[in-house]
Amino acid sequence: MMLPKDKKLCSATLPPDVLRNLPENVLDDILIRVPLRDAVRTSILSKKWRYNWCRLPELTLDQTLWDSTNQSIPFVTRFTDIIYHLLVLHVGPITKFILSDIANLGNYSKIDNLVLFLSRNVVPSPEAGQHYFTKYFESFPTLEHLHLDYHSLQFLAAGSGDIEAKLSSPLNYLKCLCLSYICLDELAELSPALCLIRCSPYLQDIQIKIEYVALNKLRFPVPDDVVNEIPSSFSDVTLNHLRSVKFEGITGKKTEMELVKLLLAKSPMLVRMLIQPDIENGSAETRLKVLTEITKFPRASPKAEVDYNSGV
Amino acid sequence: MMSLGKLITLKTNDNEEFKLDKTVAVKLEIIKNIVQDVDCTSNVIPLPNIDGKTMTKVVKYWKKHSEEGVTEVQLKNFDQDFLKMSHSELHDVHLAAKYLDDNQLKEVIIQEFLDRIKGKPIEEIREVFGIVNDYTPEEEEEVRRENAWAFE
Repeated sequence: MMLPKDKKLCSATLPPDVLRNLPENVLDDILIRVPLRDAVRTSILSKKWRYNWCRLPELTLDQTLWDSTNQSIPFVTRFTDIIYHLLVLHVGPITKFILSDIANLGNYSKIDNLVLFLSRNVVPSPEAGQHYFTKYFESFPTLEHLHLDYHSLQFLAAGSGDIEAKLSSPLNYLKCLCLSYICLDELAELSPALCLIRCSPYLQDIQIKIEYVALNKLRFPVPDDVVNEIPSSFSDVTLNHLRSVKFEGITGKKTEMELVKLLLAKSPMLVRMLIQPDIENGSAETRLKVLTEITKFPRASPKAEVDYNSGV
Repeated sequence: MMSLGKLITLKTNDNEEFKLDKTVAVKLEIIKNIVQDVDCTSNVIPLPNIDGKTMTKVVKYWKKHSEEGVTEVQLKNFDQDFLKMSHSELHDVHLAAKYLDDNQLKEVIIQEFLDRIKGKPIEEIREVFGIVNDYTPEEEEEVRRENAWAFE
């Protein structure tokens, strides 16, 4: 309720143009109720309005945005343009973000930028909590290609490794999963990565580019029991469609080796696994040890070829 | 705290007084709260941010919307009539509704503004909100370029 301390300027005694400049201008209320495209258009009203839309706390990206009179612009280009525009100009917190009608996107690699944008601006709401990761992928059930970097992964896992082992519904369309610059010893990156592999039974191609992080630089190192439980957490999973796996930057750490072992054991149709060791962060001796160990791992696919590229 | 058993007087900044009886006041959460917050010994509640002309409209709206046995259709017709005012009068009622924390009235006004600008050219939207275009043609072109996807 309005207390005396909240009293606003007396409107009746002020000339109309001053009234219009009051902070409680009705246009602010209007701005959050119109489609985003119309909100962006208010930039043309006057200098004062040029960047007002940029502070909108709620954004809805739906068909009204994707519709274009210029049919020659491909949907993906338009989507990218709009996301880039938001990325560059939007400032301040976002309390609500809705993304819909993006079936035409086909390949969802552009979501990367979106995740980056959201990770900078979204204020996590308490009820979202650890379910955020699950919720996020529920929005993209027909995802075919997914490319995430460590930043996106950490963001999706809300910065903690404490996420559910499985998504509420599997990503039955996901064929290609590409994780770049991730550190498998960081719990907030390993947990979501494992969750995605576990819930994508139709994966054909996995590419993992590992970023070397010294043990003392880790924020939440993966506890030993989590590493030991990796095989059992995949007990009911078989990757029947996985044909190709590529690891870059293997140094022979326990988590990495467990993942290599797991994918070899769970993929009966695997054709090729390419492993490129991290030359900078390991001696030739270590690399030899890693190779020896990998050759001993059982393979579910009789024709699987493991190519260990020592870089020599 | 004042008893709600009496008439309540609202006094605007130009000293116009509005007497609201119990049936209206009790139904209005806003007035109840004012009564509790102000904690005055008299029955007069000052409204320093609202003038008499605007308050006449607000009170008219309150009275109609708290009438016994009023039908949906009657209210709809009333609202339609009620909203026939100039842009600047509509602004005044919006500010009053905001000040009085009357969300229902506020929403009605905002919806009216939305209806008034829907599909209208920029120049007319400026008029509705009393905005003066201070862009040069070059600057305007720049803004259109900057937000090209929204203007095509």
